[in-house]
Amino acid sequence: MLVRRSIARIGYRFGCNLLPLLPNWPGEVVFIKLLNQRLSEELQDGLFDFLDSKVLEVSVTDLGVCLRISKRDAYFVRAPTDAPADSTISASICDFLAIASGKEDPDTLFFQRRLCLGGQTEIGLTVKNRLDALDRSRIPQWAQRWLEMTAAELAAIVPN
Amino acid sequence: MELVCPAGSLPALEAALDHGADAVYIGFSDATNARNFGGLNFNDKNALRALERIRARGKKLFVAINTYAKPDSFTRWQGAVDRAAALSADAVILADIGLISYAREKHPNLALHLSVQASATSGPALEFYRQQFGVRRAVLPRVLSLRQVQQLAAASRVELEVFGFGSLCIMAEGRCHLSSYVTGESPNQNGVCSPARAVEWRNTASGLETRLNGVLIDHFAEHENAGYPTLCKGRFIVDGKRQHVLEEPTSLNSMALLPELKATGIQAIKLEGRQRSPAYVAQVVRTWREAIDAVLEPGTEFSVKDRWRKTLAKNSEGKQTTLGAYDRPWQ
Amino acid sequence: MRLALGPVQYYWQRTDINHFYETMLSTPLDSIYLGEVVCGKRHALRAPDWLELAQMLAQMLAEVSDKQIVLSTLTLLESNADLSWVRKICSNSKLLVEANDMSAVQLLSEARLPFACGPAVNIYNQHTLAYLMSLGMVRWTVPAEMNSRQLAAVLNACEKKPEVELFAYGHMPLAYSARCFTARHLGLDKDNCAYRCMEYPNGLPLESQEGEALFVINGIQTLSGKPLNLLHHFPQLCERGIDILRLSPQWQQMEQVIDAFDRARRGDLHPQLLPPGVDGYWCDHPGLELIARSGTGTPA
Repeated sequence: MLVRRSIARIGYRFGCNLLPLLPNWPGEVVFIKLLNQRLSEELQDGLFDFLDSKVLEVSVTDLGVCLRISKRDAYFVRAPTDAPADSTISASICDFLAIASGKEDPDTLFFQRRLCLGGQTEIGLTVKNRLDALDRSRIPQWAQRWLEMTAAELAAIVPN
Repeated sequence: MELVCPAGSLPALEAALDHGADAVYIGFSDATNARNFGGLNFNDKNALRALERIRARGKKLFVAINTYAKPDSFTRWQGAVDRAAALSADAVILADIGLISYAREKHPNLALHLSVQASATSGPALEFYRQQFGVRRAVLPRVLSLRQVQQLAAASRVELEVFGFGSLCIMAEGRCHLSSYVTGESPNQNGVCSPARAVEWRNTASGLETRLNGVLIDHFAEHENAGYPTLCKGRFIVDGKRQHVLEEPTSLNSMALLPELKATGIQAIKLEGRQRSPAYVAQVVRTWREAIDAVLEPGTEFSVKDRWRKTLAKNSEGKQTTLGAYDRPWQ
Repeated sequence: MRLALGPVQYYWQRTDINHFYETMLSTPLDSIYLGEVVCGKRHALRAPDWLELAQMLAQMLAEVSDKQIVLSTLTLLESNADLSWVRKICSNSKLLVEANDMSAVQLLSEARLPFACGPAVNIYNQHTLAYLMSLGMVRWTVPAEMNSRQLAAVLNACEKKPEVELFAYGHMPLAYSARCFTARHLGLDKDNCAYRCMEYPNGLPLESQEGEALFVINGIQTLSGKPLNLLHHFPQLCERGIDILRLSPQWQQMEQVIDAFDRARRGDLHPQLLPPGVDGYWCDHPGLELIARSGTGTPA
């Protein structure tokens, strides 16, 4: 337990210091690929069409990382670097993980000013609702466990 | 006492069932329901899945079709009632008289609940819907105090459902046009208060600004909690004083009144929040299940546990809970 | 086109109310609505006083003109006392009653009396309209947020149409609450409000933090910050099948408002006689917008 927490703490500090220095694209490419795999059915069904030629920017504030996502045909794509964001969502890594692992409610974090929306609110809100509606059983068990564990570890070491 | 829980998605519905809902209410993804937000609610495929999961657990499914039908698209609202009937939902929750009349004629076996949006606050108003349409249950507006709820319950010949927890409308539901005055869209006709397309959050040098269709409705300093961007919860100027003129961001919580509500014969407790995530539904439903079980336990004295209070406070809009209008001093 | 004076929304002193209606008798109005519609605690005139005033006015008018007196009921009933107020109004045996909530609809239809429905009864489509007509509704005042196109759709789809009344001038009632905002502003409990809304005969203006006039607070009621003014649209209102225009009482210059609309119906339309106000709802826009500028009429 203690060892795991120490590793989490070191990893988190390392991330906060190092990640902002790195270019965004490697992580972005991997993340978008993952999204396209996992959400192919929803993409085919048109559930994310509201992102067509829009730019959604997701910022992980403490890690200084920012994902810029758009959609073309039935795929999420990286947004062009020069295009301004239509909608922005920002929070700390802990809070994003708490949402992803189903532990926290995004509106709760929003009321507490821990989750921020900018630009066209409708895009941010629709993304939130679409993600809430995803069937969690489709996330592999190991990934769910990893999410829950990491979320819990980070929540324990990072102040709000 | 039935616990009626919100679900804006299948995972939220599962969370409600997992944590002790007796009934779950859902809406279709369009203006026929009063939580008409992008990405929320159920298409036919998911509504069918919802029904299967409900039936597998032996619980009830209610479908809220609780907006007022527009004159040029009445068939859309009729269609929603037909779809709910085809699902064999346990009840539809309606507000529009024309639509209630349609449901009664076309689907005589479909149970009808009167939505809070119909704003029935007196014995004769409830009696109107019972005599005309055989409405079985009515959801009481949040404007009533406990004493008024008790008076109504004593005279009522329909089952009564009251709000237990959730974001608070301080205006009588179904009789508020503040949203359409500023944005053109209203809960009554569009199923939405402060539509997201009209909302703008902007970080400025002095803090966070919220605008609704360009109108400044609040300005939050660095660590102030935020609320939903509704007009009734904004800060405005009256007589040179800047304040929450209408209401602060606040949630309703009537848990402390459970023994009185039970004694007065209230048949169901409703939780608000179809727009919230499965995480909210899980936490709030679990808390209320425990509380209702405790109040139904014979021979014990009910008190609100600290743990329950904390969970509800955390999930509240504006991070505070009040007893709302059920408690007279609030008025 | 007939002109009606809507019920007073604000809390005025008894002498002022009497004086106001006395003045109104000599205006070219066709209908006058009387009664407390906002708060059952307001006691300058209680139900029997309103009944007496209404009957007195009706008698005076019967001899000299065909002006009609209508009694309006409370909009948001919160207690048995409110309900008994509404019962008294509904059981008057002479005058038409405007129901402002379903309690009054129930009492009037049970008694098989004809009734009018006020703007806070949610009639948004032809089916609801037809149903209430089958129960005795003879007059319908259109909800504030309904636009011209929707009204046309309702009326086109109606086999039998009631008298149609449209709110055409004044601060629009937008919302009703259990909370009294005037008391809240003054730091008072609603139960101990000291009836201080009487100090604000035009309500209390509410502005955004940037100084934009947004609403007017009036006890438990919220009104629009600017008055609705459909005078520009007068020609279109006549074509739409509207029978009556409702002008909402204001503390001062009510005669000028009535005069401007009266001139319009006599073919002498001068929109500049009144402040521009707002007309967004009627034009399918947010209610606070002003679409038709002076001299432009209803946009196509």
